[in-house]
Amino acid sequence: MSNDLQGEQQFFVDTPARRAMRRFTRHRLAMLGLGVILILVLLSVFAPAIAPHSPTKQELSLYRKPPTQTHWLGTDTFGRDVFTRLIYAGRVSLSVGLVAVGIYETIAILLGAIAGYYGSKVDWIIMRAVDVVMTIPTMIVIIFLVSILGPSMYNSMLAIGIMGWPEPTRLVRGQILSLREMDYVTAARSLGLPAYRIILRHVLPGVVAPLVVHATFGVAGAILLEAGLSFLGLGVPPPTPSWGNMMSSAQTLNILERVPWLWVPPGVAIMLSVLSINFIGDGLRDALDPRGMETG
Amino acid sequence: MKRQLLAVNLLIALALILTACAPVDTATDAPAMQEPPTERQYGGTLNFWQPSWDGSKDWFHHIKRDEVTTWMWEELFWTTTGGFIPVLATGYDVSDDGLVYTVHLRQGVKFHDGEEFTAEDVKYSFELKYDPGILPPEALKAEAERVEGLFAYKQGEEGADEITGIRIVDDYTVEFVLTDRDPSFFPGFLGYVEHPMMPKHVLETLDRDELVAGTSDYWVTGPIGTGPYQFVEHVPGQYVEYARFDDYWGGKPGPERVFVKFAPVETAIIMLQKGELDIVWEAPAEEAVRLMDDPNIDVLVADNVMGFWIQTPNWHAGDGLWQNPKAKQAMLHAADRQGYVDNVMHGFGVVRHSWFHGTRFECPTLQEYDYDLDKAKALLDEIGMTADKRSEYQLELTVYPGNKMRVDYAVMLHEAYTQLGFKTNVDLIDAASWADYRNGRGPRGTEFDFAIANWGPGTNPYVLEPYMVGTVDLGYWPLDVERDFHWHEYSPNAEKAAELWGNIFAETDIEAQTPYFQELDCILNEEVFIPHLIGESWIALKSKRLQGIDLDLNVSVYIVPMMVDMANWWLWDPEADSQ
Repeated sequence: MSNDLQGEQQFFVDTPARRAMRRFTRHRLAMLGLGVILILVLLSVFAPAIAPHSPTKQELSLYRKPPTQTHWLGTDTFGRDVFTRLIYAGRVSLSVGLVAVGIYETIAILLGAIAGYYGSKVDWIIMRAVDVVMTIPTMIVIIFLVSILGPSMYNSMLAIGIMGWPEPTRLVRGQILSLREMDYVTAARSLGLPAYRIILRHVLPGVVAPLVVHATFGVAGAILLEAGLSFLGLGVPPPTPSWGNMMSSAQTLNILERVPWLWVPPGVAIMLSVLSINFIGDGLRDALDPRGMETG
Repeated sequence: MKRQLLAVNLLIALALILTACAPVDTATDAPAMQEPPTERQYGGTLNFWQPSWDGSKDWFHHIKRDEVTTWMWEELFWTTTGGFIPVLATGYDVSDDGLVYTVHLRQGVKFHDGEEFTAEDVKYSFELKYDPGILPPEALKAEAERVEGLFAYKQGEEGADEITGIRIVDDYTVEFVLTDRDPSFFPGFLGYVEHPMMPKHVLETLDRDELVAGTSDYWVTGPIGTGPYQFVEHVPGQYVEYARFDDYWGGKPGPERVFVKFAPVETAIIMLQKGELDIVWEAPAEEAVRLMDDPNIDVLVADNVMGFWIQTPNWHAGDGLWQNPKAKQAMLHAADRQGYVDNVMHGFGVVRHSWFHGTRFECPTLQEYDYDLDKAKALLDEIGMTADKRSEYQLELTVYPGNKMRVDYAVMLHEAYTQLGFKTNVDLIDAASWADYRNGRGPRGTEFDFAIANWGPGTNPYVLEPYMVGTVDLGYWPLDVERDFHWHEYSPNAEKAAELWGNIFAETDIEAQTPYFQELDCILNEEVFIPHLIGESWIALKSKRLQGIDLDLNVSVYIVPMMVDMANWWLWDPEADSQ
């Protein structure tokens, strides 16, 4: 009897993570976004197996053919298959988004945790640095950095990553400022635990939820930035495709009006990925919002 | 709420796609015009396009004729390849020793204030242009050393208060005395576009220091010249306005007013379609294709034999691989250049096989390097660059971004070299970073192979001489690395080339020089001195109302080629014009 009761109690234990997951899965737009982004990611990851053609092989005789059964999204100026290039381009655009955000969220966790936990002069210095960087126009600095380093996928990741850290740093610092006053942190401190351990084991886990939400929106922003850089010729060099450099072909009215299959597919891919990631971000924000936990 | 949000988002997305796909409303409402009258009509406002213009620089410090100033400033000649079109001079004679050029001036030419143009103005104009205060002494050294006393004057040497090598014989005759025999003197100096004639009687009354410093009000409020139009107003960043000069020596020009308007090319093409511009020059081939169907716009095209897309080698890459003519021949056979002309240039270009291909100096037995991948591989095998070595070789191309056609050239070449079996990479290097890159401070160090650029003989066929017989390097190589490449030290044809250049420089008559140039072109063709020449056609888009244009690309490449006869342009139905 007691065993049965224990089993029932275990079955109905409702952890915050489970509640959040339940709320997230009930968020229809987030699930839709997740579905779309999963498809885009799978297409990109398995591009070599899925793609019907080579992304760089030129067939000049197939100059700008409209969509056909052989070339689902038509061909470009060099006779390359647009669908193939589109899914290969996803590898670049999505990975630039993820890595760039990874870079700046890491910087943000490090600086935000130090500023928030130690406070005082360290906090003041880091926050003034944040203020300074936030006053600099991001896109101009990224263009400047890429011009110096040379256009490449890795340099795009680096440039976007370097410029994105101030906002999440503030977020992390703000969270830690309130968490460090919590009783369990005071208890850990009085037990003599070293600061790094308190930060890593007891404080940072409390920052994860808002940071994940921020990072999600950040990926969308980084994809857009990469597209802008590639459109300007400062992103991924040719012939490697990215959604941005595929769209850069649409710089003349002739292509805008008469060859839409060159620029609509990458445009739609950018739009779908950014929209989907933003929906996921919305869902995560709602699911992880502590104010909604009780009703979850 | 979420559904509404989704619906709104999808609606916005759909609207954006539909808007993008919709035809752009750029066409004028006016019906297509009929055939123009044969007689020139007078009046109206001509709207000419210019992408941008740094007036503060070009007006004062360079004192040169360009697309903006050519409406009011003229030179002695328009240079063509091996010839000239007389402008303020009617012709010239060369002394037997080739050291004295006697220029005969046109009589009856008036400045915009009514004063007559004479030999005094010619000497004054050259002395103003080479004033020590205008450009650093070294800036025009090569030019200045050609004429006796000019370099000393330019240096501001004591006692050198005039250019002794420019002598006034009478009101309409001027002599130029050279320091050495030099057939390139005419295209490179006398007929060069940077020597417009200035009014001595006006400028000598002004403060000389202010004049050469560019701070004189004269440059802003009322510069004058002898051209078909006189200056009215310059609104920086917007336009320069000119009014017709009725006493122009070439006869009364057609349009009453000219506006040179500044705008990016994309905007300019829309302005042209809406009737706010009459001509857009150096138009993108992509837009020419689209506008060929527009009944109110003419597409003017001329083959270009004066400048090319080129692929300049780093002579030192690959242990001197690109010093071997066969390696460069292989590069040419590997690339489908005609495919590039057809696809990227939309047919508005020509594949060239040598430096003078398409000109009077073309090699009579020209060897053509058509697309043939097998031949390319065989040539590389022949010089020991076998398939396994190629697969190990990292071939680096570099190109400036910013010009889609140039970047697409790199894309085409990337494929060509990949097909040959090379590991190929393209670096997009901003112009500002190029010096660092070529000096080995880029990601490739000193080991990049080719740079894509644009160059050509222009109207001066003598430009290669210092590269072939002198100690000037041609190509890209690290400047601060102690390696040097002089073509004549490596080429088996060096002696022959030196002899040919000697023969060319011994003659002042272009007809007599031509056979030597042709022989020289055979060497350039065989050795692939400059690989990958593609001549990009010159395209202009003009409104139907603009008439009288004669497009001639054999005229200077430094200025819009058709402007040689812009005094003959006129507007059809000038009463109906819009500004």
